[in-house]
Amino acid sequence: MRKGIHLTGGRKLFCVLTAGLFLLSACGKADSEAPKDAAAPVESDVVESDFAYQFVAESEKGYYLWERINPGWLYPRLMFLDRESGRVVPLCSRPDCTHEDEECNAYFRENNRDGGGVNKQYLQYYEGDLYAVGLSEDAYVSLFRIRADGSGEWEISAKLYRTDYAATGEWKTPDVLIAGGYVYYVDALQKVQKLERMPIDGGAPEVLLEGDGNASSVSIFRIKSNGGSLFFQVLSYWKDDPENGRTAAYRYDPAAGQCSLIMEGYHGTFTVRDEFVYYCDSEGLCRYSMEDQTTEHLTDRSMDVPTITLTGDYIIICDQWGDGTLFLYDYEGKEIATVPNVLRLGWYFGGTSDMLFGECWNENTSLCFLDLNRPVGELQWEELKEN
Amino acid sequence: MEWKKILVNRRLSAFLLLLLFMELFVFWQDCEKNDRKRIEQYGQTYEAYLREQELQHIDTYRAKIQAIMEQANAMDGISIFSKENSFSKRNVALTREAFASLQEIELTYVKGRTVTEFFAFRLGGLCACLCGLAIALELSETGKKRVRSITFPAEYGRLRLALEKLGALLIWAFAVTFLFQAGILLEGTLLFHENPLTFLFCPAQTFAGLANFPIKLAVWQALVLYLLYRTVILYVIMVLVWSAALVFDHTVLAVGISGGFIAAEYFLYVKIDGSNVWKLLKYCNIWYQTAENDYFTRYQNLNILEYAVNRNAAILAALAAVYLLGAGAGILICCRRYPCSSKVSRLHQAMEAVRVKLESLRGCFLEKRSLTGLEGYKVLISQKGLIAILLLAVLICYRADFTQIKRSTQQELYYAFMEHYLGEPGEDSQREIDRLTEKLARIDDEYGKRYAEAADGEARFLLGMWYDSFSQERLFLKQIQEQTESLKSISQESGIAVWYVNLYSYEHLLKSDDAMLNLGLLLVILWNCIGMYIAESGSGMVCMIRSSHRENDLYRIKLRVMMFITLVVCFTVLLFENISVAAVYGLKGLAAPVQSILTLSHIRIHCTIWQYFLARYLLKYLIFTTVCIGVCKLLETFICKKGLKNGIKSRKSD
Repeated sequence: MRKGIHLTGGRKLFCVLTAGLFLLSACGKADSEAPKDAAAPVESDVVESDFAYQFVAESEKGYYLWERINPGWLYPRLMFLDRESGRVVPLCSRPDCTHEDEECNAYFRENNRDGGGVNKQYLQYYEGDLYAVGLSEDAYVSLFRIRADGSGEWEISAKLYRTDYAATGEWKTPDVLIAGGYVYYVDALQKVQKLERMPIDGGAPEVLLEGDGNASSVSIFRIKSNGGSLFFQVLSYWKDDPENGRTAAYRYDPAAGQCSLIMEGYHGTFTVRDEFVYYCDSEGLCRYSMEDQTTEHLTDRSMDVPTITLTGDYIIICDQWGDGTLFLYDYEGKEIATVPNVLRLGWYFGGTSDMLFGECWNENTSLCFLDLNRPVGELQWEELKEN
Repeated sequence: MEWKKILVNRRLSAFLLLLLFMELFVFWQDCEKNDRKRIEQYGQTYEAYLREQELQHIDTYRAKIQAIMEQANAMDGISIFSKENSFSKRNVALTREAFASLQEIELTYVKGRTVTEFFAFRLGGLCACLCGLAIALELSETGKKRVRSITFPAEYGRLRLALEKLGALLIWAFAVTFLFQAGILLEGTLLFHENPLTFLFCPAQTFAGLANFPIKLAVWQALVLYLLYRTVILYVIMVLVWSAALVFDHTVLAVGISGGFIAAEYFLYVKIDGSNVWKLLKYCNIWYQTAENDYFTRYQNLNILEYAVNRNAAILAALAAVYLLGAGAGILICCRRYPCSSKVSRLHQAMEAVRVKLESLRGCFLEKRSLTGLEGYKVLISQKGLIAILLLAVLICYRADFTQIKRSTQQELYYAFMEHYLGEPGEDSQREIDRLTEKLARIDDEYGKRYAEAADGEARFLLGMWYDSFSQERLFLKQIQEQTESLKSISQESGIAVWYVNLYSYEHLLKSDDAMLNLGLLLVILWNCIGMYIAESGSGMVCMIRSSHRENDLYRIKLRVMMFITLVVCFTVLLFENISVAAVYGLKGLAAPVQSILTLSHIRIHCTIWQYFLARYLLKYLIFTTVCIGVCKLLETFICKKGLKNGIKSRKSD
């Protein structure tokens, strides 16, 4: 069951992470001139969103996450971590609810159990509502929505596309991200994929990027948003030849309605903030300026990381495939702190601003968090428990 | 006195008694089944099990209430639940208030299986509702224009009569509810040998079924309250049906509209799951009210514009509004509808002139019609059978979904293969499969070789991505190989030369039998059948028909018209099912042997796909036609020939 969960979320990305060390030579661009402004980037109002690691949704008041499935508890509930009180509660506004059965508002049926349901890994907060993706009862891949204060029930926000689930018994969660009133999505069951979008309340779909028609396969993945733009990577192959491939990172500007190339030849994880792209290559953590098109190396520790987290003060990376140590750097590339992996962190989710989240693999799979508001020397992983 | 009319109506009284006995019987059977199941599965009597449950409930009740209070207090400290002027905050406050009074309740165990079974039993509400509907229709005196002609000009023939009818409906709503609910209660005490005095005076929350009942009442008080709730609900339903019958002034139409309304209510009851404002339509719903007890036994607040409104209060408010609407409409019609046309105003004069003109056109039209045409006109226009057909058309439109499916690459490859190689598996198709097999084998080899030679993780990653991009083709290859093997083995066993056909489309066609459409179809047929015969009885033409030498011809023509209508609606529904599959999935290879569809490979008859489906549809049509003929003959016997005995007599005399 545990392995099944891990494999369902972003299969392509998982292939990246299982391959071992990922060293890149994409930094072969014109280089080395230090960017004019090496200070910490301006605090961005937009919470960065990244489908591949959208296990936790942040709102003004706290964080939303799905419980982990465990053998004794087959009804994972939607939980809320309150920023003010630090308490973790099921997202159910009924005081007379025991939160122990399917009647609870915090519960929603699991994806694929009977053909309908919500995928319990992707979660996104947007303008007062929480969103998840799943399959409707009439076999439409749909965006589901629930009020963020737990006073309502899941309802369909937009039907993305119709599947033939009745005949095939199969469907796959698309890569999805909500930004600027639209839901952006990529159907993962296509060999030549397209990036599409639809208004968040439903409407006609719009194709934003279609892979090269001559390519034998096109994969679009790792969709993120920052500063009103969308960023994603594209991996294309021609003539089914592994030598004849190309990876690139793109930016979609909704205002201009155009996609533009920002980096080529890099396929690993990246994070975008305020016109800078942060990524890891064989030489360490890099920062690429989209304006100047220059790259600088911030650290010289090469590492395979699933995600790079940027907060107001730190750049945070987790050696997930190593010993799980968390490294905190400042924006000059100086290592500020390391946080040892005391709770057997198996999956680092990332995070934003005040909290980092992950999944611990002990006897039971559980969620853990790290409170960044603590003094640097006291940073530690703690188990996230309902209280 | 209006309410006495029901008492003297033997048919209604028999119907009421029949439902009552049925309810009591089912209740008894349910209890027996529980007993039997418990002993079979757990080796324990149901009584013993119930006792354990009740004791556990009593032991934990205080703690549960305490937990609710603590949870309410804790939620005040959670930001999303304590936002000012939000539903959550108001809900927490109301819930705390509601359960606060229950903290002091002392519970002790009392043997009261009657109470548990009473609140768990659901049929009582439905039976009472059916009875109530029949009474409401009877009191509406729809079609009894002669009665109306007498009562209307009488001194109290309008407003007072209408008010008396409303009063009668209330009396009967109470009587029916009391009868059906008290019946179960009494039966329970007899079945379980319980003395009602032992449980009637203990707190309602003593029993696990009422654990969430939020009012501090004794059992007898809770039962009275329950009775009043049910009475109010039934009364409103009855008033609604009564006023609908007055509005439409047509028995079949009133029944049909009520039936349609009930069906729509069922749809809302089942489907609504959305935001809380719409949830009111689920709770203010005839099915929820009659078939559920949750509204009484469970506490809930609804979110109405961010205000936490107690669900039952919302239901009662909605019922009050519906009642006012229904009663108002009924009174208005009783007071204002004249039994015969009269020129009261210019508008009426104008409408009358139009009506006369339409009548004359109608007369000219009908003059030229044969008997078949007249019967068709009668059933479709006079008896509003066309409305039922239009409603079915609306249902068909609602069920229609021609949205194209987003096919995966695997499906695209499959569809392309089938498009190209539709027909018997041959060398070309095998070559195509072999080509793909070789290609994928080559990719496997290449992957293995390159992976071993890969210099670093980056190269391996890219290789992995490249290899993974063929996953859909692998799935397609596996699918087509399995289908090819199956076809070969079918061919060898049966000797039939089976084809490659697109299994997606035919599997959908096989599953396209829509239960809701079938139900709609059946209701349309029944509506039209009833309309066909009830008109004769209502118009008093039966005796004239019986004295005519063409009596049998007439009934044969009626049957033919009904069979024709059945044919047309069946054909429409089947055509719709086929079009909806063909538009989305395509339907090719209809000339292929039916065994080409793997789920039908067991069929031993040599026929093509189109022949198979034709037979299937004919069978469906035959079933509906049989139902139609059966119902027509029954109606002919009971309505037109006045009973089975007379019906047989008159047939024998033919």
